[in-house]
Amino acid sequence: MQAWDDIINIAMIGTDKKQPDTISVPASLAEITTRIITGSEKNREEQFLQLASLLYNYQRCGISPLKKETAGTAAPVEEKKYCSTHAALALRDVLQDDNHSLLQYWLERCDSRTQIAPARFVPALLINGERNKKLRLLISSCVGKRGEWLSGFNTAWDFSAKQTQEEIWQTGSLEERQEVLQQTLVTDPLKAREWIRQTWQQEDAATKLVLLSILAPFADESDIDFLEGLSKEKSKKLQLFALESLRTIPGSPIVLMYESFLRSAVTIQKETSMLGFSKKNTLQCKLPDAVSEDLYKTGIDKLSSDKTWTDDEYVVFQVMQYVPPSFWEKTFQLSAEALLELFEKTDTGKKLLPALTKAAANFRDRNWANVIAQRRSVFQKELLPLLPLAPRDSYINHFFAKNINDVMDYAKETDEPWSMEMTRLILREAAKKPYPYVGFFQKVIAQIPVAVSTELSSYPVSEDQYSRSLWSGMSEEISRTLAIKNQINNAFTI
Amino acid sequence: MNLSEDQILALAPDEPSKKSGKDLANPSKWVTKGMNDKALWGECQGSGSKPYQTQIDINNIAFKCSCPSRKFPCKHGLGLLLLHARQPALFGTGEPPSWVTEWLDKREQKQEKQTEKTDKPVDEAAQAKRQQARQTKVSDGIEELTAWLKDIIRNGIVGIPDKGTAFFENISRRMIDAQAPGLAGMVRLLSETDFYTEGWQSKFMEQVVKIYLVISGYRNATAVPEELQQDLRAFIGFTQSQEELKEQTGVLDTWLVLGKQSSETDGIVTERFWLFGTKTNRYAVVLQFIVRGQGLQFNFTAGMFVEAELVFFPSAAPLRALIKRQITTSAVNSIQKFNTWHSVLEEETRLNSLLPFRSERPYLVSNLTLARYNEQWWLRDNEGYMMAVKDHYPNIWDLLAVSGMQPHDMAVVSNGVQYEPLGIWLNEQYKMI
Repeated sequence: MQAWDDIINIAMIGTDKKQPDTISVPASLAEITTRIITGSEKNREEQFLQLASLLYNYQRCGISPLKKETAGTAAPVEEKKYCSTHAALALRDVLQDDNHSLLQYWLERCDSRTQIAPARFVPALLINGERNKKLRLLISSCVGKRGEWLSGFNTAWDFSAKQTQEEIWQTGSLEERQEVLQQTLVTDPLKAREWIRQTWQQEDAATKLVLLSILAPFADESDIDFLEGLSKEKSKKLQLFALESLRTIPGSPIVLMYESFLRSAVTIQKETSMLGFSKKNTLQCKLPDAVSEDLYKTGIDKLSSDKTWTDDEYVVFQVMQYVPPSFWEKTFQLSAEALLELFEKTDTGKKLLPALTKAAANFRDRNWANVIAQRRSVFQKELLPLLPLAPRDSYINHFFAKNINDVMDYAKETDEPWSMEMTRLILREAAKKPYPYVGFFQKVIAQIPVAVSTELSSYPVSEDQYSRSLWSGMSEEISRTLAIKNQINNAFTI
Repeated sequence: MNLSEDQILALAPDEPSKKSGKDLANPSKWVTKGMNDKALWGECQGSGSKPYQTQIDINNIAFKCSCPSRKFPCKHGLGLLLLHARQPALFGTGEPPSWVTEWLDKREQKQEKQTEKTDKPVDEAAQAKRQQARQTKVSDGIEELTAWLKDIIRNGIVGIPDKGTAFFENISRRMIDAQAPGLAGMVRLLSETDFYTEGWQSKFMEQVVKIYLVISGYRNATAVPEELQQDLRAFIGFTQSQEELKEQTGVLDTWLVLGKQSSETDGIVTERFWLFGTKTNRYAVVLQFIVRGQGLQFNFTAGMFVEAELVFFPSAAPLRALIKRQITTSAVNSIQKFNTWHSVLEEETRLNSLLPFRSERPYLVSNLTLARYNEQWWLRDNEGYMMAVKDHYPNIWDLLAVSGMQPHDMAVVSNGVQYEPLGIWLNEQYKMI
C-alpha cells in the first residue's frame, strides 16, 4: 500500500526532515487524515504516529489472500506398502535415540520386506541420509515415493531421487559409488568389474585406491590382467595395493612364482632315529643357490633384522603368506592336520606357522582356518570371519585374555550378529574395565544379541567406584538400546 | 482416557525423561498396577528397597510419584501411562490402595477449597492508595516512553540498527520500574526486530504503532469501551486476579488441544496451550508458567479433548483464559472450521476493529494445501486463494511430508499477516506438527 510505504519513508529519515502531511492516503481516509493534520495536536511526531496507527489498522483490515499459479504437484501414490504401526513406533524410538547402528538395522529390515516408512518420518530419515552417506541407498529405498518427491524441494536430499544403480555409479558421491559397487560385486560381479574398467581412466588416484580396496576382497583370476596393468600407474600406493591384491589370487603369476620358489626352499627330510628303528619327517628350510631377483622385486626382503631368524627362514616366512595353504597339501601329499603337526615339530616350523595362518586368512581358506583354530597353536584375527560359529567361539575364548584388542577389532568390523559367548566375554571385560568401551557398544548395538540384556547386572564389576558407576550407566544404556532392537525384531516378525 | 503414545511422550519434560519413561513401560518393572474410572496407579521397583508409588489422575491428567525426581511428570508417571496405552489389559480394575484414594481426596478437597475460598477482608483505603501510586508510576512511565518514541520518529529510524541493545534495554528497564511490565515486553520485542532482513523497517514500525496504540489508548481510556480498557490494562502489565476470575461463570465445553508452544525467559518456562471449544466454536489460549522443580497445574497434549470450564480474561476479543475446573477427557468428532481464507480474514478484520493491537490468534481452516510461490511457502484454500506461511517456520518439511501437497484441515496461528501451522487432521485424527 502506497500510504504505508510513505509512512516508512518518512519514518526512515524522520519527521524533522519530512512532514507527515505528504502522505498520499486512500480517499476513504482523507477526511480523518485531515482531522489529524489540522486538529489540535500540533506536534508532528504525534500526528505521524496517529497517521501510522490509522494506516496500520486500515491495512490490517484489508488484507486479501493471493491467487496465483503455484509450482509443484502433489506427492505421487506409493508403490510399496507402509511398514506396520509397531515398526513405525520402533523407528520413532530409533530416531529419537539418534543411533546410526540401530537406524541401519531398522532400514535393512524395512527394505528387505520391500516396505517404506510412514510419511511423518521421511524428513528425519532424509536428514539422516544427508549426514550419513553410507545409509543413503537404504534410506532412498525406505522413504518411497514421498521421499523422492520431497527431495525435489531440497537439493540436499537429491540422493533420494530415483536413480538406477548405474546412474549412482556414474554420478554419485564417492561414498554412494562405494556402496553401489560393493552391492553390485555381490549381485552382479561381471557388471561391477565392467564399471570399474569403464571409468578407471577418469578417476583420480585417491578414488582409484578406494575402488581397488572394495574390489580386493572379491578379486579372482578374472582380475589378474587388470591388476597387472596397474603396475604402470603413477601412484606408488596404487601399484603396491595392486601387487598386494595379486598376491591373494591363486594362480596369479606372482603366486605361481612364489610357489615355484617354495618348492625348492622348503622340503621334508626323512630322518632315521639313532638305532634305526623309526623314521621321522622334518621340515627343512634352505634357499636354493640361485634365487631370482624378480622375487625380491615383489617386496620380499633378503635379510632378517632379527638375530633369532636366519635370512632363509625370513625370506620363506614372507613368501609363505602369499601362497594358498592348499599348495602344501599338494606338494607334500599331506593333510592340513598332518602339515600343521609337522610345522609344530621343529623350531623353524614353529616360526613359520604364523605365515601359514596368514596365508589361510589371505586366501580365505575355511578348511585351513578351521584346522588351525582347532589346534589352537596360534591366533590370527583374520581367521575369525572364516570360522563357523562354534569353533570361532572356542578359538576366541582360548585366546581372548591375550588378544582382547584383536577380538575387539573383529567385533567392531563384523557385520554378523555377535555370538552369545563372544558377547559375554566382551561385556564381562567391559564390566571390569569400562573406560575403553565408552560409546563403543552404541556403535555395534545391531550386532549384540538382545538376550544378553538380562545378564548385564550379574557381571562382576571393578571395585573402583568410578568404574562401577561408569559400567552401571553403560549397562543401562546397552539394555535400553537393546530393548529398542528387540522392538524392531518383534515389529518385523509380526 | 485415550492418549496415544505420541501424545503421552509429548507430556515429557525433556528427552531423557522420554527415554526413561519408555524403558519403564515394561510390565516387569511394576510390582503392582491398577486402575479405576478416576486414576491409574502402580508401584515401580526402583533402586531402593521400597517401590515408588506412582499415581495418575486420568480425568485431569495430573501425576504424583513418591520418587525423588523433580521433573514433572517423572519417568515413572510416563512409564505407567505408556504401559497402559500399550497393554491396557494388564491393569486390573478395582479398589485403589489407600495412598491413591488419599491423594485423590486431597485433590478434590483442594479444588473445592479453591472454589469456596472466601475473600479475606480487604483494607480498601490502603488498596486504593496502592492503586493510585501505581497509576502515577505507570503514567510517568508512559510519558517517558512516549517521548522516547517521538525521539525515534523525529530523528528517523535509519540509524536504529546501529544503536545497540542498551538503547532498548534502558527504556525497557524504566518500564519495569514504572510497574508497566507489559510495555517493557513490547519494547523488548521491538529490540528483537531482525535488522538483517529486508523489510525490517515495516516490521519495526508496526511494533512502534502497537506500542503507541496501547499508550495513547491508555491515556484516553475513559473514552473506550470497558472491555477494551481491560485489554489496555493487560497490555500495560496490570494483572488480573485469577481468584476473582475463577468466581465468574466460565465457558463449559469440550476443548480440543491444538498445540503447545513453549518459551523460556529468565528461567521461567511459559507454556501456551491453544484450545478450540468444539461446542461453542471459541478459541482460547491458556498459559502456564513453570519454574524449575515446581509441579504443573495441568498438562495437555495436542489432539487431546478436555472437558473443562474456562474463564476468559476480560477483553474486547477474548482469547486468554484460565481453567476453572476440568471434568474429564472425551473425544469429539464434529468440529467446525473456516472454509476459506476470505472467511478467516473477515473474522480477523472484525477482531481488529474490536482490538487494534492484539496478538496472535488460532484458526481452524478446512482443506488447506501447501504451495510454493515466489520462493515462499503458502497455504492455499479450496478456492485457490493463498496466505503466506510464517517466515522461518521450522516444521515446514514435516508438514510437507505428511500433507504431500494434498488438501488437509489444519490449525494455524495468525499474526495478522502470516500463518504458522500448528497441527493437521490426518485420517480424521488431529496431529500436532
